[in-house]
Amino acid sequence: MTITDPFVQRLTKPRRAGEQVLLMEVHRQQMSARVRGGQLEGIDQGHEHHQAVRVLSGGRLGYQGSRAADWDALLDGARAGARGADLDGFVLSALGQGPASDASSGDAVRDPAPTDLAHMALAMGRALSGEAPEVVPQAQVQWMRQWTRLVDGDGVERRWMRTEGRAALSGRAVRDGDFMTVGTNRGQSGALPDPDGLLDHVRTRLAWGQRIVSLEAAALPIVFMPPVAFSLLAPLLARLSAPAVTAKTSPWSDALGTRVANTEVSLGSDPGIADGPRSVPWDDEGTATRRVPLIDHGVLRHWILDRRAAHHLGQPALGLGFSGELGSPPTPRPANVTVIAGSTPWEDLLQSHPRLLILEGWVGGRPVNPLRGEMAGTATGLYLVDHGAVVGRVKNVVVSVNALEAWGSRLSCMGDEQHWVGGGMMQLAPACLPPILVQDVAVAAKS
Amino acid sequence: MGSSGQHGAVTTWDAGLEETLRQIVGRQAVDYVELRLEVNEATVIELMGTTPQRVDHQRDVGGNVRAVSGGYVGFVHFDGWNQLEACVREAVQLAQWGEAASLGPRDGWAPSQVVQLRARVPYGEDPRGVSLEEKLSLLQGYADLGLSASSAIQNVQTRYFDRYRHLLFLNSRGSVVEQEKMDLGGSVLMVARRQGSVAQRGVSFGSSNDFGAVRGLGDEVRDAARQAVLLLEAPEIVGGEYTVVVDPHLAGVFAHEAFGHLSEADGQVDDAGLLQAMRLGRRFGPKNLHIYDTGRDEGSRGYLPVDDEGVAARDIDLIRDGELVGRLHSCRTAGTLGEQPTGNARALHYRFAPIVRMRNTVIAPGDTPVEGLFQGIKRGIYATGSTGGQTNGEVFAFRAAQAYLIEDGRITQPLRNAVLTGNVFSTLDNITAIGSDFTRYEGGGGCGKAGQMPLPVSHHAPSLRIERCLVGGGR
Repeated sequence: MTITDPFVQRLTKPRRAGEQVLLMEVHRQQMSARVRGGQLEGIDQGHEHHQAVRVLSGGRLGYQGSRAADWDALLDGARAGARGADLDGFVLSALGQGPASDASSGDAVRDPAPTDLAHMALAMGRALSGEAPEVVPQAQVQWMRQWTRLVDGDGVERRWMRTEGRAALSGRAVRDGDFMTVGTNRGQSGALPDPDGLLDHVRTRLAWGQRIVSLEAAALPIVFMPPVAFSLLAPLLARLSAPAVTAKTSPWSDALGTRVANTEVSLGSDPGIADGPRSVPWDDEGTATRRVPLIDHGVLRHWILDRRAAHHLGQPALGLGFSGELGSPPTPRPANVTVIAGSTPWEDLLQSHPRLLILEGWVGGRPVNPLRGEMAGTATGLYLVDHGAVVGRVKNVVVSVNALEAWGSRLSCMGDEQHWVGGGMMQLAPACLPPILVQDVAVAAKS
Repeated sequence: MGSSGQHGAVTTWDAGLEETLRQIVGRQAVDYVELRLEVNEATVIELMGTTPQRVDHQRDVGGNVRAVSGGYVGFVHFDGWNQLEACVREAVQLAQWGEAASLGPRDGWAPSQVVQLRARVPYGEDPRGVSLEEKLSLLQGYADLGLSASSAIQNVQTRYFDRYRHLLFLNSRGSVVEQEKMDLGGSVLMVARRQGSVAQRGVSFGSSNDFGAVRGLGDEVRDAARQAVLLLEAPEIVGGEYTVVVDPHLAGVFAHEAFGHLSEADGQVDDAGLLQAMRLGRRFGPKNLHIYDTGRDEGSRGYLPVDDEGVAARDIDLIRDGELVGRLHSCRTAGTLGEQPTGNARALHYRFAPIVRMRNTVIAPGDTPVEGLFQGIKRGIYATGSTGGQTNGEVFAFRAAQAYLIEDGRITQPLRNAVLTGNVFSTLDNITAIGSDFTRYEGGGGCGKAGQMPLPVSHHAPSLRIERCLVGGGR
């Protein structure tokens, strides 16, 4: 498809010899409704419009984005900011090499009304209040529609649209200094999530947590539920990604083709999952996306590189350049992170040991040194399982684990169902992964 | 309508803008309307080694409207100012829909004083007056220092930002606030690698008015590089309970994570259990513990003379003489709890509605000399600096940048992977000594809450000694 917008068409004609240009334009509409304590707190709505120009000028890369400036100003700014190493032979984008037709996943989807979101949030909040009066419920339902347009210097244009619904439900009961907090969130393309799924999740955890059980310091098997299992992926993703790979600070910078994780582990970037939050035909650098195996049955297959890092290492660009948020330049990021599920049903996971723990939430569970893998966090959702049955909630415990070992020698098995994890403030990418059972995890308890 | 002015100079709003906005706000038949317009400019520089990876300057123009009807809030944000009146109508309609969808009126908002003021940034050295080339050269110099400090330093990652915000706030009560805000900061992160071992250590800086905070960091960069190399050989901490001495930087993070978030009233509203746990007058910590939050500390990243609801800053005592005496409020939470707004309603950007946030959270100095904090510790941990922290209200965790073993009152060896954790309520009671070494620390990070991150905050504190602190680590 060739563009018809004369203003953009004029700008995409390079004004300087050898200059390459990529334009990106995003319109986003979003709305959300928030409920706390069974009452509606508010309804929000937003309209965002962002334009950005990326330019290779004089062999150097420049970027300028704005919610206000016009294309001319952006192009001038991108040229003025072009710095860094001389990228001899660098190709700025590859729109012409991607799918020729528009991918318009959101075209046929009707937007819900703001009142629909409010009613859904209220229904979830009130259902929880009705069943557990001691719990203060919080619910939020969000809807987003986003149009994206990329245009390269040859006038090749690609447009797509996507919609996403998200919902979160949590409940907190504070009694005599004890905080019991449970919650979950779901998101999917094209529809609002099923509220019953969120309610069931929260109800189950509230039931598990009614009784408090104590625990001595020990090394125990722990089932890391998907949100925590994803935080354990952070050190692996750091080792896989530029700049650690390009700067050779990653111990895996020379490890392509070698085994770096348990043979059960297949980790990839998948832009084609039907309900994936980052399922898109092109990345934010104008590279056609595709499924990229990063670790395949424990063997390192690809790094996470944007176009510049791929160029630096002489690797092909694989559609792994995404902006963290609207307005940020693209950096090396996966599309949707996936870990292929294992074969162990949930009940079998719980019965695999006479005594084990389920960890669903922790605070501080981020690596002190992302490349080294050591992590520790205070458990906020930790449940003791005795012969397959959850017997209660464990408090005042720190869980310490080396994430590289958790995905390596200490990985016992993986659950047979994947779950989406998304929406965190510092999350590199949305992720879909199963619960994992890790052996011999250090648990320190307050005496 | 619009703002005018040059990059690097004080901008001013067009003369007719205020009156137009007043008329728009005045036409709405709801309980309350506020309108915030912003012009934002930001410069971001990122280096890998000495090579620039990102050098860009961004300018945003936009705003938001918040309307309240029967206690229900409609909020609309927008880029550009072309559809102002339509956005105001949208917000009013959302608030009215909320009222219609609910069971009856909610609590009202606390009345705030009518404020009419213009707040300028009290600059030391305005970063907008420093050329991009000079900024780059300064940062590249630090990267060079780090790389040349040791052959084990494999990479230096440097990040710098400055963000200028020019806001115009009006509400239907008659307040008009024109406010400038500056926030600048960054970090220089040294990454050491020797065979399979990797360690990192950083220098962080920040200010709300002075580019001088970025200058003169050479000694700190060299020291951080040395520390990163030392950490390559450090053994991992053994998890368990310890007596811990934390330096002023980490003590500030402790105050923020372990107590500050719990004091934010939006977490307490509608929660009878938490309100009981946080009842004013409750004992919290030792007799000489004094924690307060202030927006009046010029130069600190938590400096906020007027909040994003037009409420003027004042110092808010949270704990005084070891007793809980206050909490942090927006107009809404203050109205619900029958207290006064405290100037803590903050929004990261016009895309967000203001929520209750800390500014500069301070632990007042005690009278124990630093050496005295170590006395009598048989086996403990000395933790310094921080790479972040988190809380859920009841428990907290923060990562120390560096940790050392204390044996018989003396520091004996460096340790790696120190994560200090605990229960908020019991840990405050376990503070047994407060140092006299009060320090103003300004880092380049920020606070995250409800998707708004990184909000500029600061924390100033002395060193603390804490008994029975649970520390994560191996066995």
